[in-house]
Amino acid sequence: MKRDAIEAVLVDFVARELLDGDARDLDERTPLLELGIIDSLTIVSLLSFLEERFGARIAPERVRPEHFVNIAAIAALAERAAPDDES
Amino acid sequence: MATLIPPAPRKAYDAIVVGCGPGGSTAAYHLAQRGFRVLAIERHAFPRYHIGESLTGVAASLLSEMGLVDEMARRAFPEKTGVKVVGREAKSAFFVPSLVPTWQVRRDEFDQMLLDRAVAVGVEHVQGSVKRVLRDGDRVVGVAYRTGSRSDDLLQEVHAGMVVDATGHTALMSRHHVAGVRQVDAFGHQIAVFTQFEGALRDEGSMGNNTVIFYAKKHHWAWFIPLSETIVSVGAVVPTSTFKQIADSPDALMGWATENINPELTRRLRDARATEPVRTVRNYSYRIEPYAGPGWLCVGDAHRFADPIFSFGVAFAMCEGVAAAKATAQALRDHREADALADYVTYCDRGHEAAYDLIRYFWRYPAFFPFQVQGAFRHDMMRLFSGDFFRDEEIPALVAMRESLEAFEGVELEDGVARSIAGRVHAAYSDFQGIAGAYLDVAEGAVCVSFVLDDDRLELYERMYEIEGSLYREFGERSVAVRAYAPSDEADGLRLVRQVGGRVPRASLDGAHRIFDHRGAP
Repeated sequence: MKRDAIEAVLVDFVARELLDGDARDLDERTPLLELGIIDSLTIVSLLSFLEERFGARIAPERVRPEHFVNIAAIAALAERAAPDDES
Repeated sequence: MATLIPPAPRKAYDAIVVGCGPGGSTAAYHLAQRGFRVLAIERHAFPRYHIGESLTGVAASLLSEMGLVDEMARRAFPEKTGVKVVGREAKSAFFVPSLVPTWQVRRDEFDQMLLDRAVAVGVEHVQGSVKRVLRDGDRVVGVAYRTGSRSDDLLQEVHAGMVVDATGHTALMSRHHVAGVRQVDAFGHQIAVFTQFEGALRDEGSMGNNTVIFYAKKHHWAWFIPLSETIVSVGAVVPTSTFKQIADSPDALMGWATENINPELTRRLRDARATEPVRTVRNYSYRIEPYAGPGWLCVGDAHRFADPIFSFGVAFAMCEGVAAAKATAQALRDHREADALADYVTYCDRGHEAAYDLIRYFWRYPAFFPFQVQGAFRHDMMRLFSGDFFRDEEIPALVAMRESLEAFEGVELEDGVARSIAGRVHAAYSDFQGIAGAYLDVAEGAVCVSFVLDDDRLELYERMYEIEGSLYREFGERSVAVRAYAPSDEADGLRLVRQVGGRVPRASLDGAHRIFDHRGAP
């Protein structure tokens, strides 16, 4: 899956699951960390989504703030962690 | 008239240690073991109460070196195998094992035991209160102390090649203008209330001896430290601003905290009974620089206290006590004082910076911290929690945390001078309690850094001297301005409370680049 496709899926997920659908201005550059959208609970559901949807298992030591500042960063992380043969 | 015959038989020693807490007694012990004549002066009659009841893993080898392991077992101090951290609303928890088992300690007994050990190897101990630091030019050459409590009791002068200040929060050398002034540090607006409980619920088996840390929102937390089979030390820490809003006394704050910090703490204390009065420490975060010089050095809390959350203080002071003895030996025996003191400061600073960065990472990134203690960084994090961070070697988990702390999004500037100034301001102040935001304005060769304060406090101005000094040196005083704003009832909610330096590109914050701003943060 291409990076921008991953981003689109993630925008949809964040809007639906983390923001209860209330996300008109959300895009891949929205500062999720700064806005407090990523917290100890949402990060767990986000990580399971990355694994289910993209097969991307994120090693604990890679669960670091700079990989979660916004959706673009999360998509880059997911892309690196996803299996190469992902169709 | 003098009423007491001064008990010290000598007028001169190799070293004088002032303060006989864990740092002072450890330094005194190691000095005596090296064959030096040591006088240890302590103000209080021991045993006496002291807060700071948990040791980190590094203490185990230090106590072993002092031949005290059997004694620790005989006194039945609870064996601590790690720290459990319970997250907000008790919805998450993680456990960090200690590298090696260590102990929870009742400080009245523990400190007495260390002092007795020092005396057993030849340290002379006297109860007295140091009233003056004796100097010869730039050099500290001794102290004058009083053994009685009356002001006309004789001042006893004693001389030594090295005076070790281990006076804790009293900070003798700073108070006597030998060391630098006490500056407020990052966690400087906190209040801690604490007492001991009987009947508190613990974890099963040996896990029940471990420290539990409960946290709520930023800078709100509590400790739970078992001190014996029946007694648990419990303390709550909140910002002083929270205290003012929710309680009118330390007792009321303690009551509020047991109900509101964390449901797991509330559960554990439901049927417990306090057995001690509620005690208080506030605004405890400070640093003193310089803290070593010709003929003197400071150990432990006598030069720095960041924050008690991970129980670094006691073992930290003991590590510094060992290092202070080594530095003193090099100064006295090898006549390498300047090098020895420089090495000592490097050693202490390395430990303090590691502890400080760990704590600010914890508060800045609570969602990420539990992942940091799993996976590839687990052993590193065990090491950091054990207080084993004085050695001169890279710890990858610490490197990673520092990268995260240094990364910032706030300034849309190209790489260059402005970006580098913003980076420095961010690194120094973004986790500093009381400083809510910082902005940078650059125009036509003029640089202006503006701080937004939580309230208008002089001690915060003092913390800006650092950045002012470095900017002045770099750009000249006329090209640099530093401003501070505090909350007000005016339209934009801010008023200018301080401005120093030269030209200011713009009158307000409008148009300035944001370095960070925590106002309105979750």
